[in-house]
Amino acid sequence: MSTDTTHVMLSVPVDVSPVAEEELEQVLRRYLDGQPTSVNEDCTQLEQVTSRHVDPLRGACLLCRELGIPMRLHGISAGLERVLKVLHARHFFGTSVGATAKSSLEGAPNQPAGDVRGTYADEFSSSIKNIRDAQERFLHFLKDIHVPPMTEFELRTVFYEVLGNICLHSGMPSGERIAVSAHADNTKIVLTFADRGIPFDPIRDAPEIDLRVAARGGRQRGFGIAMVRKLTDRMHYVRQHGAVNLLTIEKRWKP
Amino acid sequence: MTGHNEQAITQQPFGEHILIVHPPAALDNNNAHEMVDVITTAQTSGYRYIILDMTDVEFLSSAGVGSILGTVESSRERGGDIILCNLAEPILHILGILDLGEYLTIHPNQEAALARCGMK
Repeated sequence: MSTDTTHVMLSVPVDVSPVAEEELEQVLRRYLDGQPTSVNEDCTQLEQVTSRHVDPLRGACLLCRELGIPMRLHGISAGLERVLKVLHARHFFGTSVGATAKSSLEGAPNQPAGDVRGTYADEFSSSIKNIRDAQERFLHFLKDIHVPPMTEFELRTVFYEVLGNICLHSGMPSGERIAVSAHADNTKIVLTFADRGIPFDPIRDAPEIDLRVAARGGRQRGFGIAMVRKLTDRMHYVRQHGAVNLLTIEKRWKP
Repeated sequence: MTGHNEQAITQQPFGEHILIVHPPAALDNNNAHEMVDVITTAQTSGYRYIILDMTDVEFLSSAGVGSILGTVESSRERGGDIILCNLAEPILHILGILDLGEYLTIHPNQEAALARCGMK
């Protein structure tokens, strides 16, 4: 393991016994106490990988996210890549996978120049105060995949509006988690928001608003969904398992 | 003229009937209510024209839009207006998509906004 004062590199061991896992967490926590600028998990030893290797990685990622410290996985073998894919866990690590934005891309080495696909995942406590930080993390992802500036601004706005509505109107107690993920390819980006608040279908339950008519009536609130509708191409809502609001938003773009 | 920081909404009277307001970098759920307070207080204090100098504004949420939209008519009924100036291109872009570009009074800079109010 090597450290300088700001960047931590931890080697992920092959041994996935509970003892080894606990040791890794203890070492990580010691380094996080020093508030490093970033944490890098060196996965080069992980050639023969099973699903049990993913749990400590996921735990480390969550720990770093709670402290607002970026974490990246380095030296991802084909075996680890396969396991992440099978477990549908790749999206969880999002842009924390890879040393650079390009290595976070699927199949990056063989992609033609200008190919800009990528995935993103985040979760945080439901609170208006947390939205700006989450928005900043999302912006980093958009910059990594080279979204055009105006599209970036529109997506930033959509991101804020949806999360603002969830925080303000979902009825969830402060501290409940909201999950956001995104998948981008050459033609579109698809954002998914998941929360455990009261059921709310923005497509069916939120009426269309003419902003100018609303303004003439002195209306000050309720424009968020109108903005999301105008800035995106498709929305889909489903109430999953009777407990989770799942809102999927699609926005087409040209790289 | 006071300096601007990321959080504060600052105000600067200009003559008897004009108030220049500088919103901060983000006008969103965190401060939109304060913006409404500033505008409505200005209106009841006799300022017919309120110039929103958006030089520092990098992000405008629906709450920020609402704080402006919900108070414009009040100024217009008093024979004045709320005038936006120095808008960054992304903000102008969003207002255009919302079809508000022609409803709101928008000028490229403070000088033009003051001229709109009949001042130089």
